[in-house]
Amino acid sequence: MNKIRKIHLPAISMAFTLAILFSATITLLRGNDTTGIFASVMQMLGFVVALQIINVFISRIRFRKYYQYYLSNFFIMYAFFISVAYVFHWFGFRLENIILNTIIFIFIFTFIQHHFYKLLKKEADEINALLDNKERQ
Amino acid sequence: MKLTINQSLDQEETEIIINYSVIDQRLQHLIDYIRQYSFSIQGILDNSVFQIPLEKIMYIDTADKKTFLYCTQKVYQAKETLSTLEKVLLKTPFVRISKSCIANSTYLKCVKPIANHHLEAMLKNGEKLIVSRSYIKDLKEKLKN
Repeated sequence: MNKIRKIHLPAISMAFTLAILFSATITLLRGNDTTGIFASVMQMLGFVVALQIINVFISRIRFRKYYQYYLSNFFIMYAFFISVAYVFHWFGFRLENIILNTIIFIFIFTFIQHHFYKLLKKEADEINALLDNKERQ
Repeated sequence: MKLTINQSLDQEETEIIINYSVIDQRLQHLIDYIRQYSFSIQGILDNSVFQIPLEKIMYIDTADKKTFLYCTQKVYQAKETLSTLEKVLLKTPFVRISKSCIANSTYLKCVKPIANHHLEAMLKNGEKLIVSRSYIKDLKEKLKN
């Protein structure tokens, strides 16, 4: 499980992202994007990068509890997501579309947060084992 | 390993002599650990200068461009910068855990993950310190050694 989390998952994500980006770039440069889907891919890239920039600023705030960080991060990023989706017409702003895309956003956000939390928890467990070992000596 | 302890009232200063044929990792760790007890840092409190033994310092922190030595009972100001102290304390249980803090790993009780991809380290006296992501590896290495 640890190998999947540390190696395979990031590798798949990076490979998939790079493949889509190369594909989108080439299609756009050739002027072949008749459906506009590759332009949307580049918008999504810009959006994801912007989310990381927002995350950098949020990370500078000293939250006392993990859930405070999680919820603050979520609501700020969600507000940004909805705004961008509205401006770039990513989906029709009907109730069922908003609910569906909100569920997708919650899933992706939680998945990523959980992934990094698990990695950090493993580091903490290793350190605690070393501390316990030292204490016993 | 043979351990010989001699007490004498004529002895002015405690002296530890280690006789060995070949130095191995275990022996080197023992020497580094003992060295900590012979080493002290100058600390200032109420305009007086004190020699603070290393084993009394829980952690060293910086604030407003000043370096402070946090001991179990008191807090002293150090003359040296954090970077200087980090180099000086390289072979001791002290380890850099963030841009502004060096912790004495012998006072660490446990760690847990917190927000912003950091760890929170709890000391044996209940105080909490933040371990930045970039220093987690250094902390692990120090504890392994």
